[in-house]
Amino acid sequence: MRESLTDDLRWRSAVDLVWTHYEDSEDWVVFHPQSGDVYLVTAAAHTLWSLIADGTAPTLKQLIPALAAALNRAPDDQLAAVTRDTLGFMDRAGLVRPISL
Amino acid sequence: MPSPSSPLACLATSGVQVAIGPFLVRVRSDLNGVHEYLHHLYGDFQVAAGEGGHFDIAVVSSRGVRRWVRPQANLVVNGERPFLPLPGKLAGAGFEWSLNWCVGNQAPRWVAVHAAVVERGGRALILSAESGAGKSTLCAALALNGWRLFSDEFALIDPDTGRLTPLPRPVSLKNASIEIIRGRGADVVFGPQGVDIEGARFVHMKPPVQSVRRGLEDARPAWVILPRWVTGRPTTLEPLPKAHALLRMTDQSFNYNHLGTKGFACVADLVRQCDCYTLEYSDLDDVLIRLESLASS
Amino acid sequence: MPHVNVAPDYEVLARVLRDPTTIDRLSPEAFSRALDAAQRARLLGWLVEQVRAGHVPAAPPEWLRDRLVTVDALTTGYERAVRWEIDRLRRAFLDTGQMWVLLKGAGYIAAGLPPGRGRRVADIDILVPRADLGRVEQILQDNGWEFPELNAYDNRYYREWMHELPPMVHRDRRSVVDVHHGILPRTSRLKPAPDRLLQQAETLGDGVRVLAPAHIVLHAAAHLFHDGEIAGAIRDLVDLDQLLRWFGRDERFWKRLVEETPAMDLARPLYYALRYSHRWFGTPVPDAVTAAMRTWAPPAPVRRLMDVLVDGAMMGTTGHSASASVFALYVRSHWLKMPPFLVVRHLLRKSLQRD
Repeated sequence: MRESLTDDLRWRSAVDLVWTHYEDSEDWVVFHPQSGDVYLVTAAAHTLWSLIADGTAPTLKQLIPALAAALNRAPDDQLAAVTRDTLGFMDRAGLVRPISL
Repeated sequence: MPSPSSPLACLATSGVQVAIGPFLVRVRSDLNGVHEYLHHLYGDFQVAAGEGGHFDIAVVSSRGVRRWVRPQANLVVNGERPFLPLPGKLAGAGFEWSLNWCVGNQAPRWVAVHAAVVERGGRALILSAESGAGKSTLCAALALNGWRLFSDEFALIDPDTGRLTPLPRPVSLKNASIEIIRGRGADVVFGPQGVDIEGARFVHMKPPVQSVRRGLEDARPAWVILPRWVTGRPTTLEPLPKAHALLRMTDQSFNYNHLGTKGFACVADLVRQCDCYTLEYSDLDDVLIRLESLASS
Repeated sequence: MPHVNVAPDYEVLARVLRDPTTIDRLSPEAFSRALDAAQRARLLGWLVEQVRAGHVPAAPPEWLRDRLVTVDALTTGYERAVRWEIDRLRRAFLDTGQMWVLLKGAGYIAAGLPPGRGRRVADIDILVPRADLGRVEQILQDNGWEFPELNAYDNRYYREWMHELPPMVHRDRRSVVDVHHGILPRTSRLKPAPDRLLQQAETLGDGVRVLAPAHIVLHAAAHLFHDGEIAGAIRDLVDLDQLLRWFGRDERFWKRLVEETPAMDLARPLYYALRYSHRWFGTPVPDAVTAAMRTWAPPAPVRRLMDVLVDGAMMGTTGHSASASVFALYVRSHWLKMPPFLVVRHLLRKSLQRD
């Protein structure tokens, strides 16, 4: 994934995702009907997704502080790197998609 | 050799239909090995002469020289050949492997998860594990100890009701498991023993007659357990987060996504209904006691 | 002991193909054999469409009803898998400004054409300008597609002799993309110009491109009568019939087809396509087109030989003479692709590999 591409893009969620959560842990399972794939993700990753799914079409730059606030953590380099990686994973999985420039 | 009037007499001509769980399986074969295998291990099943069925399995000899010299068994499933030809002696096992391929890949009316299932008191226990972790041995031991065998290969989930449908079949046992299980019941019946491509000894255990007679009685799912035999390990049953159990179950199912969202929801709901655990053990008797107390709680 | 017959029942499939109402009168066992034969001929999607249109044996037993649920789910899954691959390609090419066009099965599915319904597609074929091959390789590699390990012989086969990129395999999904810069290999006798295909390509709602209707038909005709392997013969002709009926509802399509055929140097393949589609499926062809076809026809002896070969191919390999046709068709298509001295060497090498 080319670095500059990820920074400039605005993101939206894929449609028809099926998110499942059970009370006995913080993890989420998501089913993506378009691909037929299933993923196990952390609560933090689910939070990142919901910041995209709310329809505000954020960029990565906007997501980092928003995620930090939602997770009650400092928006430091480590968080930025993890956010970028998780966004990249979600992009490859098709859970989120960029809006064309 | 069975009499000409037995249903199996048609095996090499028009074929037979065997009722296995909810499936009608059409079988044809010109190999004695398959004849004997079905005669010994499917004696309690309904067998009739006929064509048609959910699956069409043919186990046939090769043409020409290979019909007689180092004879082979070719597996043809609804016109496809999912396997390379097998040595003729493995023909019976070839029938079972073909049936596994059918149930696992062909997206029937049920969601099929690769797992063993046993039932007690109307509630089903689903055992999901990698090959070699001892799942079949545990499943066979349970089936000989008060639990009804549903299947050692597949959990069949009805997406409309969420209940499990039995698929009683011979239980596949390898290497040391063979002796372990042989020693556990006077009425244990084994088919012919063989050696598979990887050099493992294997045998198929005839399913207990009650599991076949009650083959149309479904059950509601109650427990999902991921068992693992570990040398010297005391019986350890620990809660497994349901999200992890769900991932495991979908990972072990090749056909849930043929049913789309409905298939996924089916497995997600099953996990919701069940108590989920990991299980490590080394003493089979101790595990049976532990699981029996789980069932009565 | 008599030998168990495991050959697919292409005969019942052929009857159903020519007249889908046959299904209503078939026994459940015969229809089950038709399902099996359809799967082998990669026509299960087509057959499921007939079932959806209401063609089912009378009073089907439970096992057949269950089979119908199964094949419906299976073919829906096939289409879903292709649409996902197309989506991933869109993602890969997003904002690159790169021209790329979907061909064949993936194109049918993207454009919502009848032959796309429930279709099982092995590889996704795309067409790009020849000058952009390197750039396209790079874009695909950036997005997870890789070249598989090829031995030196196969590498040369693709890059030097066929002038194609080897197929690219996605590292996670194991799906395959075939990147083409022309619709026939460079060594072919016929020279359809790819520039014309690219210029006239049409853009669908989601930004994906497919060929213009006349070119879709011409490509299908070229594919069957140049590259066609025998197992695909039945499906390819069914595709052609469906495409011609679908596009043929608009008379402007026929006009374009007649113009584009000589422009693309594909007169002979299209002649065969129209002839055999009409012969086997009764495809309606306007008189004006039939007249134009005469100038595209081969000499009568060649035409008669092709009649035998295609009829044999359509009926599957059920007899000795049919097997000869299979071989003849295969050898012919290879000859069209490569200079003769290369053919013998290549066939020899391939047959050794199979053992």
